[in-house]
Amino acid sequence: MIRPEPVRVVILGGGTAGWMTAAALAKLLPGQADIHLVESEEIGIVGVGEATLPHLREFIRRLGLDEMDFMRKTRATFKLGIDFVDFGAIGERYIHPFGAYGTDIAGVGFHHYWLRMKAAGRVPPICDFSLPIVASRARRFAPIPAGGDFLDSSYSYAYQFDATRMAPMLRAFAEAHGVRRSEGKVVGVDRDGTSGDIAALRTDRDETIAGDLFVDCSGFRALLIGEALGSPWEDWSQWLPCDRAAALPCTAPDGPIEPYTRATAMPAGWRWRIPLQHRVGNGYVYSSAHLSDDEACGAILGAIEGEPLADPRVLRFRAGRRTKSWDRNVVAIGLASGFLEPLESTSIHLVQQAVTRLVELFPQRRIDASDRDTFNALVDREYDRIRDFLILHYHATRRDDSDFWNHVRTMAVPETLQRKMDLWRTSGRVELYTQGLFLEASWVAVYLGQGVVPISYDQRADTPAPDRLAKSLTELDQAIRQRVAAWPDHGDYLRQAGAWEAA
Amino acid sequence: MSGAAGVTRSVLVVGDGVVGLAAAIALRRALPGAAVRLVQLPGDEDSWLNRLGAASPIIHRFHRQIGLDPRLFARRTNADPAYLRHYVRDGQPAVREASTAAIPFVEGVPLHHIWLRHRLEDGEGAPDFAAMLLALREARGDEGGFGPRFDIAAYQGLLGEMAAALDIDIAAVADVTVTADNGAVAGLSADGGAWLRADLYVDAAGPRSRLLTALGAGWTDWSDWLPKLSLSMSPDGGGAQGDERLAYEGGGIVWQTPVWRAALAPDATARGPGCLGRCWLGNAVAIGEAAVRAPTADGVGLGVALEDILRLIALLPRPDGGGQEQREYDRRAAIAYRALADWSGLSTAPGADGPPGLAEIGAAFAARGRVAIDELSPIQPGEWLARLMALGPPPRRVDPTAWALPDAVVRSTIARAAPARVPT
Ligand SMILES: Cc1cc2nc3c(=O)[nH]c(=O)nc-3n(C[C@H](O)[C@H](O)[C@H](O)COP(=O)(O)OP(=O)(O)OC[C@H]3O[C@@H](n4cnc5c(N)ncnc54)[C@H](O)[C@@H]3O)c2cc1C
Repeated sequence: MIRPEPVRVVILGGGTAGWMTAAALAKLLPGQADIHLVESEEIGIVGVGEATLPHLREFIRRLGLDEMDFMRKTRATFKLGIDFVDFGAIGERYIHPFGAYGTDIAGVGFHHYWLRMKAAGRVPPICDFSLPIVASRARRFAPIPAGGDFLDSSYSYAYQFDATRMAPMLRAFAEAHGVRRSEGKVVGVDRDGTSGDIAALRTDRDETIAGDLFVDCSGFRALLIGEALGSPWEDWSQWLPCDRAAALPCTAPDGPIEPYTRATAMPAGWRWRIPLQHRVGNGYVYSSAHLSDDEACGAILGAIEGEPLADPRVLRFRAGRRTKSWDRNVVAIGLASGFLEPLESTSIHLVQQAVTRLVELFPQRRIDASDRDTFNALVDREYDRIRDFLILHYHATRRDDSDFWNHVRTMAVPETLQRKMDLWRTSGRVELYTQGLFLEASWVAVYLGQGVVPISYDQRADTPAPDRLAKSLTELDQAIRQRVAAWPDHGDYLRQAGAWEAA
Repeated sequence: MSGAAGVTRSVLVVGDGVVGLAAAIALRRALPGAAVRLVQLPGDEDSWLNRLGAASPIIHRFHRQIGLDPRLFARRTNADPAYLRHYVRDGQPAVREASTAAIPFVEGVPLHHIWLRHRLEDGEGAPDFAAMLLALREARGDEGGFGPRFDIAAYQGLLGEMAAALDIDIAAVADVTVTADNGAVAGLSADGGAWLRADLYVDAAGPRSRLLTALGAGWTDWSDWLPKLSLSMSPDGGGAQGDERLAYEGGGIVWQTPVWRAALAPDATARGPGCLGRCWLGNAVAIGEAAVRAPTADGVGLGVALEDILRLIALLPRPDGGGQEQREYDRRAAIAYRALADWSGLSTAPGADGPPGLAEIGAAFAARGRVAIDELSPIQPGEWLARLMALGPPPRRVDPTAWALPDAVVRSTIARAAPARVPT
């Protein structure tokens, strides 16, 4: 028999992570993975996590889902970026767009030319040179045309969706692709006497589910990777002190729908505002050392722009990750593997990355240690790079209006981030890597958006004559305005494209 | 701007080999306001890059950047684009390698895993993996193949003409001495006399280079991992267009291209492989063989040198900057040089242990066909895949995604390569 035996995969947890894993393994490894998912309706899911990143589109495409159907089922809106308010200083704002500013000229990044013009005092804000930012401000949206011009390829988009509807949708898909599901609370874990690997899970309904590979998607509980295996946790709260969130959905206002998420800095953290089709998601992410739960709930109640749809719900977490997301025969995916606050909407992306890696490194019944090591190295790199990028949002500030902001402004940052900031400050350059989530354009957006202006720029940007450069910047600015003016209103487009779910 | 307002007004490139000329031209283009000067030194017998007319496909991007017409390059240097390699090893059947830059995927599955599955299921009847890549090449077009093979003296002549047309000043000297001051070059003295000074010094003097060592940069020796080989060239080109043949004999390689023939022979007296510990100190940067040496039987040696030039220009610091760009340059260069060492080990001494990085790459590939290379490697994942498939042991495990593919997809993917060319 040449063809390997299918691997028995047991997934614990039916939140976004559990069902994304089940759906992807069932679709991409038919006949290779025999999948059984166990979840407990009594425990329920986190059910927050509404803002996503453009990579999710690739996941949906690989599963073969219809985009509009997906959007209707999850009441999704489009997202072109994140609007950061009051981060660099109170009263300042910028959008971190899905896309770059301007276009390279003669192989030199646009921001170097912009820095030159800024030094000469004759340039509009850099956000005017970004199509997704101008469109966000105008609350317009259009899909990316195939074979478009340089402006059409200058942006990307993601979704803002109702997280409580994502898992049920993927569940239907996964079950149609042969995934078995058991209802029940896992109350016991059987270990193999000799290897110490996990052999089976036992539920409160007297079911025993045996497997070769266990995927821990049990959320913050981390029942297998944490409780059963005791895999160590690397704590990052010294740099990312926020450890709670007060979440509160509210009614959607009448009028245009923002094609972006908003993050507003608050005295002890920040709050999100995510517009969906049928409501708006809100939440205050805060540091419990600096703010009480009651104060946080009061603050979010006072900040929302519609009628509250529930009482504020407090969630607790810690920033950090497992030192080994894959330990023995347990792979942790989702909140069980680690947590980074949703400042850049990265959690669902980390789930997607982990699932993709697991497919790439999918084991045989006996697990090869080198697959495990490779998986862990890739997961760590992804987490670590996002961590530095998030810390930048706090550290690059001039705010001195609260203990919280004084702490993050003055704290020592990881050496890997310090090096990146030193390079930027002195030269306007961004440390190069190609595999991370946030590449040059994103770093430039946050640096400039939060007022970290470098003392220098690429000297090649001095080459074009000043008037010629000013003229091409003006032309670019106009081209972007004209393009966006021809785009439909975001809400109109949702309806016209068939993404709107008639309530 | 406050602080670092300085601009680079003068550049001195030491060495007028292909790397020095290419660097001077690229810097002239990048800094139209700067004076670029080249110091010509007597020919260096130990240089490979000045004798071996072969480059990786990066040369095409480089030519675009400096504005060199690809047709002019091909005509003047008699360039032949290589896209099929035949390896002949003692007592083993010949193996073919075709080129690809990216790892090809079919329905989300890496092509080599589809091929491996087919080979397990259908055994002998399979076309070789090179045929699969050739079929793709026909369908998608050429990504640059393995890069051109050409007449190096003609290329050096062409670059020399370009340099002259661009007002690059060339001074011929017998030798230079370096005066260092506070971790930077204070000046060079030519033949014990005239002072040469610049804002930026580029050491492209090849194996005999001294600029960076004069500033205290150490040299890391790789001769424990890589063979010491000497290179001899003969102008006897032969074989079909686009084809080249590598015969491994007695620890050496005879490499026949349509343009020339090269012999790489073990030689204990040859200058050993290795690289500088730091390539950019203060106002001096070493590129090409002045910074790294590892034998290759393809165009990657020159390719890595051209990448040095592109990196140097992308990170060009201002003379009064704080040294951060230099640090970033060194970080990227170190990754490139480690990749070159691994590549050199795989290609010049297949089967030997080679550098530690190569052992890891080899193990990951042998286990399940993964190409585990650094994201900033100048040698593309597809290039690694093609060579590992040709020279390494084939992966032990077929990827589960390939087993999950419908039979029809596997059959049609193989069928595209089935009217394979007859191996020569
Ligand atoms: C405040 C906050 C805001 C967020 N915002 C975003 C965002 O904007 N964008 C983003 O990408 N991500 C965001 N996230 C992260 C996102 O919510 C999660 O990554 C995502 O929901 C995946 O969660 P999960 O599936 O790992 O865990 P959960 O949703 O907690 O699922 C755990 C599952 O395990 C089951 N389970 C647990 N114990 C047992 C047991 N003993 N027996 C049986 N079943 C059990 C539960 O029933 C449940 O099905 C946010 C997270 C928080 C806390």
